[in-house]
Amino acid sequence: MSVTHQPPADDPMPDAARQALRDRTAAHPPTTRRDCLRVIATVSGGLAAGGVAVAAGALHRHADAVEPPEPKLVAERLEPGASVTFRFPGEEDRALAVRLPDGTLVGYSAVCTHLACAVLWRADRGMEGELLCPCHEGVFEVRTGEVTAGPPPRPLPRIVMDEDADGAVWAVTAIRSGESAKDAWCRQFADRAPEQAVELGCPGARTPRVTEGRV
Amino acid sequence: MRAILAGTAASLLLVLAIVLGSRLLREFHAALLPYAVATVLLAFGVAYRGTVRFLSPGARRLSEADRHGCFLRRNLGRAPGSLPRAMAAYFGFQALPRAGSRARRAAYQLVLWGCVLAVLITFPLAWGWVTFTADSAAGPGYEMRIWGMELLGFDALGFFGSVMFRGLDLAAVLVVAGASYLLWRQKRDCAVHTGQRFACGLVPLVALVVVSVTGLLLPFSSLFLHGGGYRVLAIGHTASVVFTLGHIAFGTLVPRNARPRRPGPAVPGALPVVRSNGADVR
Repeated sequence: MSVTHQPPADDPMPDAARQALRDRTAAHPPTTRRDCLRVIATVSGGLAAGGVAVAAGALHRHADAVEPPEPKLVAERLEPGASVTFRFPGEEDRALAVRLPDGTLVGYSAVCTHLACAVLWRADRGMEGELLCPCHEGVFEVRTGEVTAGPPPRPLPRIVMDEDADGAVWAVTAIRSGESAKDAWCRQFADRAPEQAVELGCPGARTPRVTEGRV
Repeated sequence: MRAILAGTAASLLLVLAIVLGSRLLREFHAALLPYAVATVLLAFGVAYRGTVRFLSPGARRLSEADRHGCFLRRNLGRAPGSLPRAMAAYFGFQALPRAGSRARRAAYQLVLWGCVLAVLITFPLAWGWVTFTADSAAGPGYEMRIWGMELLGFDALGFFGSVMFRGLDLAAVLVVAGASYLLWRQKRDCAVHTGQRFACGLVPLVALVVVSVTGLLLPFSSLFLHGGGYRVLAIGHTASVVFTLGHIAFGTLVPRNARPRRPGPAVPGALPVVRSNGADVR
């Protein structure tokens, strides 16, 4: 008999122990390469699906209205240095207005563009005050809403404010983050005022046809 | 098939909870989408893996043995207390056998409580369940809301507010300290104590350290760099978190040579597994 053909030795492991070993192995199936690829594909697919859903507008955009908003009275009077919170353009959209010391009236969405914490008006910070998100130290310039420090990726959406002869403060319309005032007007009011839309050069605006009746 | 059904059911339940808890996605934030997706996959993975594990022939035989052992007269008195005992042991109120030195036990606790704190803070935020609002523009009053209802009000610029907003930093420091110690001691300890579990796996510890360090770099950027490089750091942090959650769900957490002798808690006083022939297989 050659040394390569040894008779099977007596198994030193008793049946109970062998069964227990088999049980333990079966209870912890190993992760295979195929499992790994499946995981990567699933995670990537999930992230891609979520990204597509966001891009398709599945999530609510703060300070954005489907319909052009109606002007809203937010304060009977706002003194220099004072501020007020209100909901605009929707009842769930938190916003704030600030009267700067020089009398300028500014309004913004009060929802930070980073992770949606509330933005506070800090009159004691900066040259003429700052808008601060305390969650992650995000800072916005009070005259423009631009990010001056911290993690917010975009400026605050603006709220166009107006003041009537009695000094009452009104919120008129909302401008999306990074959107120009003209684009915001065209987006919301071009259908209502087509002639002005043509004058402003809104994309897709046409002079309304005048229908003439036959004599 | 049953495992896939269980995983799908767990994922759908979580998605439903996210949609309802975020008030029909109104409070859900797009920047947190990768984290939410990762938790949904985590739910699938944990349910799938748990079902596979508990339905596998080996585990089923063991659970049958557990059931059998549970109703033995000599175990009846101890059975109701075994789960609370296991929980107390894992949450550090009781020393685990084979847990090693006092420093090692402390490192375990740091990692554990750091992870618990991080999960309690980030998961509800990522799901859109928790929001922070202010009723006054000038502050400093802040409101923490859960599912749209006010939970507590606090001064955003005061000490409590700072602690609230620095909770994740604290969690990251705890995890870095504990995981670094375990990594440092890994080679020697794991060679000696094969009974150690997750601390002997390289990937989970490294992943936890990466998540924590990238997480700590975010406030560093906010506080000291005025937000410089924040976006790149945030992408790196998101990728590390998604990888870690995916690894928890689907990866190999415990190397084969460091697995426990049987599934279930290794707790002093836990029920022994007794086979029908009376043999204790522990």
